[in-house]
Amino acid sequence: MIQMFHVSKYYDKNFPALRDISLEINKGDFVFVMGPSGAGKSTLLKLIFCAERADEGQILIQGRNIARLSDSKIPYLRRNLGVVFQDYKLLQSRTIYENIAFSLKVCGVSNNEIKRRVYFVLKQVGLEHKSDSFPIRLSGGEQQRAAIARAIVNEPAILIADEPTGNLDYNMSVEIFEILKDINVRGTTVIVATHNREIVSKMQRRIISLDKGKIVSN
Amino acid sequence: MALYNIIHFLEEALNNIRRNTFVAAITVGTIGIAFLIFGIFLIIFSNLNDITSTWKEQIQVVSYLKDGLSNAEIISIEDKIKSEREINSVAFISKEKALSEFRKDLSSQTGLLEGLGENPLPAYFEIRLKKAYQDPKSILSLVDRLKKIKGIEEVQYGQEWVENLSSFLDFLMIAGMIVGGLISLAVILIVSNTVKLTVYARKEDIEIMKLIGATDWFVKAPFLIEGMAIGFLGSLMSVILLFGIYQIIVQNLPLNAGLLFGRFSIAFLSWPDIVVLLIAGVLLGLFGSFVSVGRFLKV
Ligand SMILES: Nc1ncnc2c1ncn2[C@@H]1O[C@H](COP(=O)(O)OP(=O)(O)OP(=O)(O)O)[C@@H](O)[C@H]1O
Ligand SMILES: [Mg+2]
Repeated sequence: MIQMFHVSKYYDKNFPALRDISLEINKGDFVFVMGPSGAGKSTLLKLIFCAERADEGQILIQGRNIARLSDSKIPYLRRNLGVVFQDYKLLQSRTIYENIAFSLKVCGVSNNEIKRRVYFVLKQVGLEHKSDSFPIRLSGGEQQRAAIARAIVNEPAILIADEPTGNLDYNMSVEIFEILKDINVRGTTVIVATHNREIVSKMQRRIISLDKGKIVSN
Repeated sequence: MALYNIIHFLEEALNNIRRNTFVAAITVGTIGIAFLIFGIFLIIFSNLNDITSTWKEQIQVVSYLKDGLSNAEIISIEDKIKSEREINSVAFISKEKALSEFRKDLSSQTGLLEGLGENPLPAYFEIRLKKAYQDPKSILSLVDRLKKIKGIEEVQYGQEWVENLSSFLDFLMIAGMIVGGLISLAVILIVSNTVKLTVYARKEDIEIMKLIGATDWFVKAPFLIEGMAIGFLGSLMSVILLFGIYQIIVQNLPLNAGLLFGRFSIAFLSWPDIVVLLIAGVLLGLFGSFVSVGRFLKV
C-alpha cells in the first residue's frame, strides 16, 4: 500500500529531518510511528500526503510513485487519503456538518449523497446531535471526532493521524483510538504518530520508531 | 460538473460574505470611500475640461482686408481662407457693416463718429476654427498662412488670451495627471489591500481546504467571486454617495455662481465614467483576491 525506498528529507542541508528511510506498510495495517520530539514523525507523514516533498528516494502509494507528482495532481492524491491533525484543523466558520460535507463537495458528490454519507460517518463517531454546531462549541474530543469523520467520509484507503490525541486527556484519547481501531477493522490502513506510550503498548500493533530522522526499530 | 461547480462557487461566495458580514461591510465601506475621492476628482476634472472647451470655442481669428478691393478679389480671398483645413466657418463683414456695428456698440457716443466723413473701418473676415484646431499652436500656424494671402492687411486672434488659455490648459493637464495618478494609485492600493486583508483572515481555511484535497481553483473561485462582489458594491456605494453629495451641492449653489465659469451647471459623471468606475471596482476586487489567495495555496 505504501512503500518508501531510501527516502531523505532536508529542511536544512546539514541536518536531514529524515535519512535514508525504507519501509513498507500493507493494506489493512495499523501502524504506530513513535520517537522523541524532532525525530521526524510529522515529516514522515507529511511526505505521504505531499504537504512536504522528499528530497531523495521514491515513495509509492497504491503502486503509484509520488516522488514526481505535479502540484496540480496532489489534490487527487489527497482525496484518497484521510488526514487527522493534532489541532483538528476544522473550518471555524462552518458547522460540523458543513466541515464534513466540504470533503465530499471537493469531489463533486451530489447533495443527496453528501447528506447520506455525512450522517453515516457522524453516527460512526457518535456526533449526530452536534451536526449543526460550530467547532468552537465542541469539546476537544468532539472536535477530533468530527475531524476523523471528515477524514473518513471519502472512504479513503489510508487514514493518517499526526498526534490525534496530543491535546486530549486520557479518557478522550482512549475513545479516539477506539474509533481509529474501528476504522481499521473495516479495512482502512491506519498510520498514527503519537507520544502516548500507555495506549500504544495496550493496543499491541506494529511500531515504527524514529530517532534523529532514522528508523531505529520497525 | 461545471454547472454544479458554478452553483457551489456562488453559494460559497455568498455564504462567505454572510459569515463575515461585518468585515465585508467594512471592506465595502473602505472601497466606497476610496472610490468616492476618485469620483470627486473625476467630477472636478471633467467639469474644468468642459469649461475650457467652451472657452476654446470662443476663440476667433479676424482677418482685416486692404481698402479698395474688388468683389472678385474678396471672393477669391474667401476661397483661399476656406481652403485651409482648420476652418469651420467664415463670415464676411463689409466696411459698411463694420461701421454700423461700431455705431451700435458706441450708440451713446455717436458724436465721436460725426466728423469722420469717410468710413475709416476696414472690411474683415470673421473665422471660426474646427474643434480639433482650437489650440495655440494650430492658430499660430494658420495665422502665418493667412498673413501671406494677398489682400489681407492684418490678422488678429486675441494673442494674450490664447496664450493664457494655453498655459492654463497645460497646467490643468499636468495637475490633473499628477493628482489623478496619485489618487488612482491610492485607490488601487487601498482596494486591493482591503480585499487582501479579508483573504488573509482566512488563510488557515485555505490551507485546510487544500489539505482536504481541494484543487487550487476550487478554493480560489469563491474568493474571486467574493472579491468582485465586494469591489462592485464598494464602487456602487461611491457612485450613490457621489450623486447625493452632487445633489446637495448643486441645490445649494447660488444661481449665478455658474456664470463665473461661463456655463450654467456642474455636470455629474457621464454614464461611461460611471460604468468605468464600477468595472474598476470589480477588477480591483478580483485582482486583490487573486493575488492574495494565490499566496496561501502552496500547501
Ligand atoms: N517546515 C520546517 N522547516 C524547517 N525545519 C523543519 C520543518 N518542519 C520540521 N522541521 C525540522 O525537522 C525535524 C523533524 O521535525 P518533525 O516535525 O518531523 O518532528 P516530530 O517527530 O514530528 O516532532 P514532534 O514529536 O515534536 O511533533 C525537526 O528537527 C524540525 O525542527
Ligand atoms: Mg510532529
